[in-house]
Amino acid sequence: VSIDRLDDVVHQRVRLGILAVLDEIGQCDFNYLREELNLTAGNLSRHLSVLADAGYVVIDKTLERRRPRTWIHITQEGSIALSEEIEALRDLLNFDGS
Amino acid sequence: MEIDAAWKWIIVCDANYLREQTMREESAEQGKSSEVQDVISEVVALRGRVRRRRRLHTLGAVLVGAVSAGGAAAFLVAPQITTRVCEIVNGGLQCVEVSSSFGLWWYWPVAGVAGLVAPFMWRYRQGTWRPPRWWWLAALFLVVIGPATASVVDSRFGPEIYPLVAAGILGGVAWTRRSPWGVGAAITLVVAQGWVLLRWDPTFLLTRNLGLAASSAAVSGVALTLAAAWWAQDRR
Repeated sequence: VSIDRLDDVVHQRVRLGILAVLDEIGQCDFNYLREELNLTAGNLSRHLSVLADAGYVVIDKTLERRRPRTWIHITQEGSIALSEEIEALRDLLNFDGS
Repeated sequence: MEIDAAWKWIIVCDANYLREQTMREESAEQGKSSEVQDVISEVVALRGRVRRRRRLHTLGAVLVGAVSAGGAAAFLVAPQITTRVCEIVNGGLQCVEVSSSFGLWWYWPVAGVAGLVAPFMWRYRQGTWRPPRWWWLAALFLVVIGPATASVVDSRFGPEIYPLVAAGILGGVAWTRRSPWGVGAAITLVVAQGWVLLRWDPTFLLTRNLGLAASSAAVSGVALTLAAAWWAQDRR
């Protein structure tokens, strides 16, 4: 078992939460995610940028009724990265050192 | 002797040191393990919470859809109901139907569209569903092409064909997406509509209108809301 399997982009607590929520519902808007994770807009925005840069989420800023609304959806890579992260964590947990 | 004593001291000391060191390492391992366990538990709890909320939203959407479809259907069959009530109150005297201008086929698009759209509107407001890029095409079909096609189909086959067409579309889509819920809804729709048609007494116009409209609207409303709920629950 190696900690190299842990992905720094995914492993961060907030980003892990973002991916977990998105993996469950596929896509949602910025406010839903902010309320679900109890984060400030700035904090969420920063973490979303990191995930978007890694190609794990796609951010789509739209105008709806002249008001901006941001939609975020998880990519297949993001979903795979989350599964691998959880699997790596579980392996670490089950590792008995023998 | 002195050497022996010194060795004994070293051995005891070493054993103590090793024991302490082992205990320290075990404690650190347990700490790390607990930290990892916390992370996993947090993710699992978060997913569970989101899933429960999503199910609640879906249930809300189904209720809103069912009320919309049911309400629309009730409104459209209201003239027949009021006529029937009027006849009962008047001791069997024939009453003039308040409005027969709503052609029978109207209940289907209205109830169906309301039942279909409501769940999506609900989830859109919640921020968990986004209209696809081709929504305007679907709206165009539902508002213009659908009814226009329906009137042609209606004149040729009668309104009974709609639930079967809907069942066909629903079943086809469900089959390609491997959804047992969708396939189940389609089969239910076909069976229910078949039952309605078999039980339908064409000699009694009022029964026909009321029974057919109410049962078809109910069946189609339920089927469409089921389909919408299933679709809305689809993860991507």
